[in-house]
Amino acid sequence: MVHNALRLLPNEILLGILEMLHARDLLACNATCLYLRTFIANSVSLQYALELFACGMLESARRAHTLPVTERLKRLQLYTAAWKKLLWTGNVALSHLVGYKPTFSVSGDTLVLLHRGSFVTVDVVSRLCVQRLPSKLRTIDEHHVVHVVPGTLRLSNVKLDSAQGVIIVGEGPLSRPTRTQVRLMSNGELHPLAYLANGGVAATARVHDICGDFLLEADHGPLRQPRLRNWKTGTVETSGMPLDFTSLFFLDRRHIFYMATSGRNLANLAHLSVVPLGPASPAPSSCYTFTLPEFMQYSVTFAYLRTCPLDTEPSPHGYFYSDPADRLISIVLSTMNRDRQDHFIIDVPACTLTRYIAAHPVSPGNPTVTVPWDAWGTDGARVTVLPRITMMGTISGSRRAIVYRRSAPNDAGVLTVLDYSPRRVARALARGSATVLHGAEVDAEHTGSDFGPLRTTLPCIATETPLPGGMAGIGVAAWICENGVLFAQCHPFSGKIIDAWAYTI
Amino acid sequence: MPTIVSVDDSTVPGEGSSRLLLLVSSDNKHIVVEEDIMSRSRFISKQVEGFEATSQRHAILLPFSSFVLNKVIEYCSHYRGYYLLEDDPDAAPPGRSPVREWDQEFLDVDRNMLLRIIKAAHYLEIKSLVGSCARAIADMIRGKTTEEMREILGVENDFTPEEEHSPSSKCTG
Repeated sequence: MVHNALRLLPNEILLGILEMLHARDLLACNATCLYLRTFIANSVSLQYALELFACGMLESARRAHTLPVTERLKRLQLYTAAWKKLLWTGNVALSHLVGYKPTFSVSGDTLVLLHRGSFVTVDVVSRLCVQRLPSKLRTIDEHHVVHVVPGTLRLSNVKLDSAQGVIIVGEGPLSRPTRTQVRLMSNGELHPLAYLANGGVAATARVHDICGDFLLEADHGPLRQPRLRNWKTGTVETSGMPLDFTSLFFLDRRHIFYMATSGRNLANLAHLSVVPLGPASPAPSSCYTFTLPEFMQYSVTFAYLRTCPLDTEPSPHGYFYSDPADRLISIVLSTMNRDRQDHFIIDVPACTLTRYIAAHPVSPGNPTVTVPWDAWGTDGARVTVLPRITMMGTISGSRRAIVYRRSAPNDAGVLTVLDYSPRRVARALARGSATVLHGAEVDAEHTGSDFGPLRTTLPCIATETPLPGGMAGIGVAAWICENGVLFAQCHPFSGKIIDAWAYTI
Repeated sequence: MPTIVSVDDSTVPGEGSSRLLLLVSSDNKHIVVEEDIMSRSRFISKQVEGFEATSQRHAILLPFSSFVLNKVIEYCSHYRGYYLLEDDPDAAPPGRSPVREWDQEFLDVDRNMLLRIIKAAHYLEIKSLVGSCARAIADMIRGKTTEEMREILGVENDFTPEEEHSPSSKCTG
């Protein structure tokens, strides 16, 4: 037993010391030892400080510790209220963009949209648009930068990590980038794009996810072994990586998760898997397989995964640090049962998976664990059927945005924001707020009569905002980020973005 | 254990109007100090009030070494007669204690000494010194990485690998 000098300090002194620190230092303290982590976890005042930081509401290190607990709670309530009543912001300078559903990446309050040049639209220039939404509550101004890619190169893939100010772009045809660049964006000013000459990324690999210094890349083709690469040094690590993925992300620093869907091969049904990485993994090829609801397993025709970037390193600019506990994983999939097609969204907070993994470690004798849906999904996920006329919307942090059209006679567009953050949900439940949705139900019509209705019980906070007249139905694209939601009205035929607006906090 | 000695007013000649106190440290050193100096400490003031109520004066036993005690006395004698807002029991506690340059130099000691001083100050209820020490410790770890913090604070990484890399321990609350 090592002597821990801090244990001898009276609690109120230790609290006094920690309250003088910025939330960024608290996060580092949180990782030093068990005693400090427990201490921070049990202190309301410090938890509020961390949460304010994760909301982007703690503006300066100098003022951080002067706020009493009541003031911290008040600020958190302001933040929650701002998301309930979003502000209509005028036009956002988002032009020059063609493409109805451009490739995008969201991180913190910044989003990157890709316009792929093409000879069909006679607009052969590829552009990278970096957009930060304004916020009154956080006193953040709007920033907008369009970077024109020289030549007729086409941009294919983009990953943004605003905590580090890094954009990774693949250039070339969509399926097969011929060049992958790491670009640095100065976050505070959004001065764009100093090249970091290829940043150690393999030229022809597609980058699937980024987490701190590491990124997940994979080549193309049937034997695409994914690689873990440190993009600053170029060193590569490969161990226990899956081959049969359709999309691949970091769950946290030591785990990756991926989805495998293959209707043809019976061994590869639709499921979500988590693989421990590197030396921490107790057995080679250890893996957790989280199966989807039974009615989906054999009938998935199309599926993709999406998640928010994992900002493990707090931003030096201090704007955003997304709390890893507040991370959402989203599965969007279509099923084909007999003659009908249905579309579903499965929202899984990342902590559902991490909690299960922490509680059930793999052993060398039993390296692969199959987790049935009932064991993880019923209480830890939310399955919803997508209404007919829906713009799927995106996710950011713990929030999902859905834009859909109310049926006649109103016919108006509605923006729904669902918040899955465990702490905010717990607080809303404790206060008896009416906006908490207690789970969702998919009726037997969608699941098929063999399986019966499917009920999931994960609570979330729902807020609805009506869209202004005329913004409904076809051609509305929406992207959510930490400051609000950006809408774009697209031309019904060419798909060109005609105009863009935002709802912000 | 030092025996409790009774200090009679007449045996110790007071300097000016201030009377003397006998403090006994944990290493059994007897230190005589003017009551005026130590009035900054709420603990000592309460003891003195007790003396006046019972008109019995005796030595005050303190659970820390004479080295630390001398440091605290040095602090108190520097601020003898000064008014510090934090030490005023009637004033509202200030949100943020002011930075005092002398304190920064005075507390330019190693981590263990700093921890001992802050504990002594806490025991003696000298709020200004507790505040200054807390600030000094906070300054030491501000902006450091986790590894550097462990070194500065003298704590050992006692996480299991799973715990260390678990994204957060605060899913609830």
